[in-house]
Formats: sequence, structure tokens, C-alpha cells
Amino acid sequence: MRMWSVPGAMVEVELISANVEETLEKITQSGIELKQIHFLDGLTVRFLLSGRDWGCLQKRQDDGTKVRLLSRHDRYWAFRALWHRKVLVGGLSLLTLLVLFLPTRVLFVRVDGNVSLPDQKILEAAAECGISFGASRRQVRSENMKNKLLQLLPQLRWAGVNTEGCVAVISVREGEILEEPVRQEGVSSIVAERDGVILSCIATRGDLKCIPGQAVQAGEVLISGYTDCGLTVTGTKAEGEIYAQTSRQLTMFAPEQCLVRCSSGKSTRKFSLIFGKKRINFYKGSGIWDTSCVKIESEYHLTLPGGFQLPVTLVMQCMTDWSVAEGTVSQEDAFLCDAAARYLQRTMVAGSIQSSDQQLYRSDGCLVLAGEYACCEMIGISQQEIGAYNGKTS
Amino acid sequence: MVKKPWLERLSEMAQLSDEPLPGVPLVEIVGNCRVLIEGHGRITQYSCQEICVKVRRGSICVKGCALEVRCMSQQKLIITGKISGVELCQEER
Repeated sequence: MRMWSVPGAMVEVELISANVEETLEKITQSGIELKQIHFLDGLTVRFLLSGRDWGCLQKRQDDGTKVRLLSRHDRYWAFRALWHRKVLVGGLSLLTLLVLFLPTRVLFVRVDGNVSLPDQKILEAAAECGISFGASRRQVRSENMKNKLLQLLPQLRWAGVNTEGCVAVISVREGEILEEPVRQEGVSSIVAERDGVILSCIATRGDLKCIPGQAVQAGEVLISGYTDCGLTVTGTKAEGEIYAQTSRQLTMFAPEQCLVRCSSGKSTRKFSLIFGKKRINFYKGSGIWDTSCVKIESEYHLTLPGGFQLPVTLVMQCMTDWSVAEGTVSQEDAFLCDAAARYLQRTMVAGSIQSSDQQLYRSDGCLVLAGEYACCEMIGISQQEIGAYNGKTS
Repeated sequence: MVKKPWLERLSEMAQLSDEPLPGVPLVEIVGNCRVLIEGHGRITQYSCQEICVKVRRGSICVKGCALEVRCMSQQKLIITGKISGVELCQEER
């Protein structure tokens, strides 16, 4: 801009004279300094001079010489011209305020030093302590923050909060949480849950009462909690793993006819914006459809780099219209075999299905699966011994 | 033999021949973009290609392109632009 190149209050003057060269010489000889002289023609010249000299020049105008003020080039006039550009002035003012205000605020939060504790949990605790977007940097440095963080997160052994510019760095050290040893109370034995042939047996505590290859019945003691030590009998809580070959029979039913959901293809999306606790819906009505529909709601949180979540969320609801119709279930669609395998697996403590003999047929409007399964499973379950508390009822 | 002015002879006697004497024009050329003339008179010719300035007992013509008088005061005159030559035309006495 020209105003910065001009040191003081300058005015641009046009001089018209019959003898321009002589007039200029006279002006300069009188002590007036001229700058940026431009000869327009033989009679006219334009130049800059200081505002103070402009008054002197006006006083000493000779006959036949005409001087005319064209413009002013000082800071006052430049700033006065800025007044007509209100958007620019507003933008500059806002920028100045932001430059003064933003460095005093926390804009980002970073977590450092955590191993098992997730960042999100620490950030939530920090937000409760006041370390959040827009918080004052002075507050962040206080000792109370550290104490509050340690109170909210007992897993932490140490916490420190520092600021690096607009970034609050939460440095944490996690403490080791020692698991409390399980107290051994009472006497219990491990008994067979079902009939089977023992495949392997490991007793880590108690007296083993079975061997591999032995056939056992449900309820039979496999590892006893009582150990005969000759003169005395000690009681303990038996522990161990007993695997056995078992045989299971299962019958499953599935209806031949069923209601099938059919989509009409009509689908609608609705958007909402959540600012803190305020929700703005970009649709009319309550959002409830008259007909049956599938409603899938997705939330997209606005997150800053570092994982800090801003209180702005975009919610998208996708609603798909559907109706029901009667249909026939095929044997493949029934998934009875898979369902039987899953059911058996769930009923076992541990183990797997070794072999199976399955039959699938239709009967009385149902699909029926009848099967026999040979399993290798852990059959030992803990059973509390009666009178284990020396007369006290358990 | 040309007789030198008494002021010049005096400066030679005082071993001040390197110093500019009062009223004698001094021309300084900075690169090819600026010419400073001290002890100047009026501008006798002005165009973008040539600016002539009257000095004591002659004139100095600055030649080039995009020439302009940047500053003109009682003591000095500054010409800027792309200067190709500076010529001193001395009047015969």
C-alpha cells in the first residue's frame, strides 16, 4: 500500500506553469522538498510534498502559476478511507480479538503415558475436571486438576497437566492393580456331570478318584476334597480338569411355515444436529411412521485431532418400510444342524463335538432334526460337601 | 595552459583535492538504478528516456528508460529508473 511508503502526512499536488523548470527550481530553492516528480507535459507537473510545505507553497503562488491539491497521502486519510470498507475493518478487529483471546484457551487435549486405560476415559474425566475445549489455561495448571483426576481415575498412580500453546497435555502413570487372591472356603469335590468314559484327568488340588478309560456315571466323585493322611483327614476345595467321552441325543424342531419380512423398497433418511443438549431436527413431525419400519440411527461426533469430542453430533436416521408375508422354510434355511451344534457347544463347560449322526425330516408341519453326538467334554463340576463347616450350615 | 579557478588552486595547496568544493556538482551513481546529484540547478529536459539537469557551468544528462525524479530539494536531486548513461556537458568559458 502506498501509505506505508510515505513516511508522514503527504499531499499530491499538480503544478501548472508557463516555465515549469524554473518554478520547480524556485520551490526547491525555498527549502521545500519535492518527491516523485512526474512531468505530464511541458506545462504540467505532479509531485508529492509534505503537508506542512503545502501551506508554504500556497502562500508563495506567483502569477501565472497554478497549484492544485489532488489527494492526501497520510495515515489519517488512509484510515479514514478504511472506514468505507466495513467488512475488512470488522474482519481485522475480529482477528485481533482472536489473536488476543485464543492463546489463553485450551483448544486441544492430548493424553500421554497411558497403557491400559483408554484415552476416551481419561478425556471424559478431564472434561469433568474442567479440562475441555475452550477452558482457561490458568485453570488447567492448577493442582486441583491433578487431585481431581486421581480421584476420578483410581487406576492412575500419578497425573500431571501441562499446556503447550493451546494444547493441554495430560501425562499419566498407571498403577499396578493387584488381584485379590480368592479365599478358599469350605470343602468341595468335583463330581461327574454326566455319564462318560474318562479320557484325561488332572487334579491340581484334592484326591483323584478316577483314571483314564474308566466309565463313570453322573454324580460320581472324580476328585475328592477330602484327603486321607493316615491319622487325620484334611478337607480342601478340589480343583482339576476331567475330560470324558460322552454321548448326547438331541431333537430340534422348526416350523415349516413362517412369516418372512419383505421390504417395499421405500426408504427415508432424516437428519438432526445436536449441540450440547439442544437437538435441531431437519424434518417435520415426530419422526414416527404409521407403518412398520426398520429404523437405523447413526451418530457422527465431531472430534478434534487427539480424540477430544466436541459437543456437536450429526444424527442420521435411515427408515426402511417393510411388511410380513407367509413363506415356506427350506431345510437349508432352517439352519437346524448349525443351531444344534451351537446349542451343544453352549451347554458344555469345555470341549468339542467329535462325531454326529443326524436325521432331518418333516413331521406335522415341522422340520425335525434328530441326532446323536459323540463329544469330548469336561464333565467335572464342583459340589460342596455337606458338613464342611464343622457343624455350621452352609 | 588553462588557468584553474582560485578555489581549486587553494584546495590543491591545502591538499583537499578529493573533497567537493562548494557549488561544484557531485554525482553519485548507485548501480544502474539511481543517480544522486548534489549542487543541481533546474531541470532542463524531462522524459522517460532522458533527464537533463543544469549544474554550475554545464548540465548533467542521465539517459536510460523509465526514468523519474524521485526527490528534489535544495541540496539534492535523485533520479531513479534503469540508467544506461550519465553525461556531463561542460560549457566553454
